Amino acid sequence: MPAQRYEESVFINCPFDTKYGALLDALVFAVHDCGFVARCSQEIRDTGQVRIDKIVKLIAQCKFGIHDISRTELDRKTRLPRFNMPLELGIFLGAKTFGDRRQKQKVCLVLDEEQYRYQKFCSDIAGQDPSAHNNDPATAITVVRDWLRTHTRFGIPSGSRIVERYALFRKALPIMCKKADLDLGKLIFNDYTSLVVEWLKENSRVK
Amino acid sequence: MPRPFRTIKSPAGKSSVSRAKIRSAVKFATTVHVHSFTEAKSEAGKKAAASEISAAIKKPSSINKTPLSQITSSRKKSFSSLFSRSVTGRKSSR
Repeated sequence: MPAQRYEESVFINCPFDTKYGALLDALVFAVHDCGFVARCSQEIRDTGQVRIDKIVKLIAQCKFGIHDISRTELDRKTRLPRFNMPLELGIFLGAKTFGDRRQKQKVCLVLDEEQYRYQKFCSDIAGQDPSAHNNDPATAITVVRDWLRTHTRFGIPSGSRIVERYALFRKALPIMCKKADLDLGKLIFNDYTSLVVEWLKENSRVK
Repeated sequence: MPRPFRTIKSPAGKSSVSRAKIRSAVKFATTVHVHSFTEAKSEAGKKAAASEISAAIKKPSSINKTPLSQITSSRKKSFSSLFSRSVTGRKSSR
């Protein structure tokens, strides 16, 4: 990966279930519309690589990290909570604390569904100032945009503009999938990001 | 001095479909919009819309060419319904 990509890469650490899907789709769109590159453990489908190694490598390649810790419910089958998101947040913060000069530049955004709810289950991250998305994709887009804007020197459209564009993209998505022979509803991460990027290039150039 | 504006970066992963195909699909969807597809609620309506799209893909000149941006800008109220469904297939929870 080229060195400059580190400055543009945003690691997305979130649940991968259907319930969260609408938020992840919106987050990926917002990241790309802000001029960054969304990275996620789903972009690599290499069964020969140990999962945690893959995640650690991805984290090392990303200056930015979006960590959604909202999934606190117990698993229906096992009746146990899922700890993957807090674990990956810990790895990210560990890299920032103990890593080299480049890793120390890491910046993260912690998301939860309600403001201050994290205090009840993960109070140690109080200093990270978590933001709430209220399970609303439009809110998530605005939160991500405002966060990325504070860490860049270039101009980024306002959250409401990105939300409008996202609506246009979602309208066009069924047609794009049909035309590209892709199954809408079963898009893999790489296909979705490719569609997002090409659509943004076509539709949001400054004229 | 004007502030530099962000540029859209290429994705990190490789798509299962060629870039040319994605580009052509995006160009098609940007200039051609089939009204009924996203608004159709009944199964029959969805089927009709799907066949309308198939026809449009075969013969783009035969359908409405109102730019998508002009259509959606007057329908902001329906945005939330567009966002509520996931499109990326997921096999596992975490």
